[in-house]
Amino acid sequence: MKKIVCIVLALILLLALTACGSSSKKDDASLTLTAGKLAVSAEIGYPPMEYFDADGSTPIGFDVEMMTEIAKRMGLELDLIDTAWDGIFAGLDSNKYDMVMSSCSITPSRQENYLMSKPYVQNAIELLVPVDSDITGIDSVSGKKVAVQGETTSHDYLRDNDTGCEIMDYDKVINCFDELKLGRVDAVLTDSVVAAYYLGDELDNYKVVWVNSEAEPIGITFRKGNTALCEAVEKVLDEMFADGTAAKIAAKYFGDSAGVEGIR
Amino acid sequence: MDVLQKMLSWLPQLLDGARITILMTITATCAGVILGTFLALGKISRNVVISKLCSAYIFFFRGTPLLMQLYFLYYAVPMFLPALTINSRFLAAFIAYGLNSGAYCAELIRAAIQSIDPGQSEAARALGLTYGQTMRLLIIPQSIRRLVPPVGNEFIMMLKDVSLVSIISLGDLTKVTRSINSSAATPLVYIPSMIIYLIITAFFTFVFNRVESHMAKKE
Repeated sequence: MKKIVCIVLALILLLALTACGSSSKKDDASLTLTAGKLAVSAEIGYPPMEYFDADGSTPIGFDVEMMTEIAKRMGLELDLIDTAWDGIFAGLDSNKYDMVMSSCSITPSRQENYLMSKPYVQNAIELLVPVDSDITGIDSVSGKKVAVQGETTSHDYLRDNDTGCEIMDYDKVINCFDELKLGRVDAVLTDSVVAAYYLGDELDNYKVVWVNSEAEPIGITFRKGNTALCEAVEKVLDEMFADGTAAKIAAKYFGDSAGVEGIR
Repeated sequence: MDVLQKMLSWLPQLLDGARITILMTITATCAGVILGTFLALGKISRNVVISKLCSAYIFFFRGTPLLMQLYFLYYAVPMFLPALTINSRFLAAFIAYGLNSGAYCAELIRAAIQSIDPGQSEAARALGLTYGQTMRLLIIPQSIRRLVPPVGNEFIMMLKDVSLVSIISLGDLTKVTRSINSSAATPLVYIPSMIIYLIITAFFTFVFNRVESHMAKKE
């Protein structure tokens, strides 16, 4: 009897906790959650978009340099928050940061729930396999193990399309490549920007056998209704594209600036 | 009502995850107890080499995070020593959890053995029993009784440690919950999931309490 009372009390506590909504307030005069600061969330561990330098603590990458420049031009201090990808949008909902700039592909479902900027870099999902693999495209992965990063558009693609493969999802994209290297999975489905980076010095070992015809350009994600901040950021982005800053950063991380040309 | 219906629709997936969680907890804790017994006996052994080896093992596995041990076993070891590649996710996690639990159980078992009045083994030796006989017939049976509560505790800790397996793409209850959370875009799923954890914990607490009182009767 005592135990039942205990369990019931525990459940009540649980429900009571969930009933307490978050109530962080936004300073109305400021564009951002904290005046003078631009809080940006990224899952750092996604080269060449956002990753740590060789020292393991300095965030670098295309997104990182882009956001640094955005914050600088807006006269704000950049506060980069490293967040797990799984849950990154939930943090936006609960006012943990102003925006997510972490290689977010623009998709209809994300646009439905969030405010997304115009694209700032081109991207599509690609299927990567070992050079000697018999997989020739997304049609021939039936019965094979395909690694994806959890809750990414690659993961969505496999869930939404009947490819017949076994989906293996990981927290970090690096684990997908580890698994491919160890031969535990047969293919990796990932963003072309990332695939190109990993293929960089592994061209002899891996090849891309399929690229989704549906492009998934990358944009910045804001809370729904936060148009003021979105517009301010878009303006700065336009400037950065007009004066060649974006192309310069792209060339630094992608080797060329093709990914950002003509995207805006 | 809508909310309840949603929660019910997630139940099959959650229960499938719970199956892995329970299976892993039981098998790994059993492995831990068996391994721990040998480690404990090794640690209190008078053979210095064995004693030091067991101490080092316990020190290592208690001194590094379980998450890292799992990562190391699954991702790093195969890179250095391809022969030791474990391709089954469940097996890899089982080995990591078993090795880790072994270290913790060793300390529990050592404490239980040493809690038996040394006068008893002195008396047994005086009566002509060998060290092995003393341990097997006298000390271990009594230690087991004292071991039930701490092992029950270890079991419940393990139940929650198993949630780390998501890093190797093994679908335990926590991983399934997180997947539903992101695909259904609602954190509501944490509620039924936590309730399932509580039910599992309540069930095993009950089992361990029964075992404990059963043993107390025998005393």
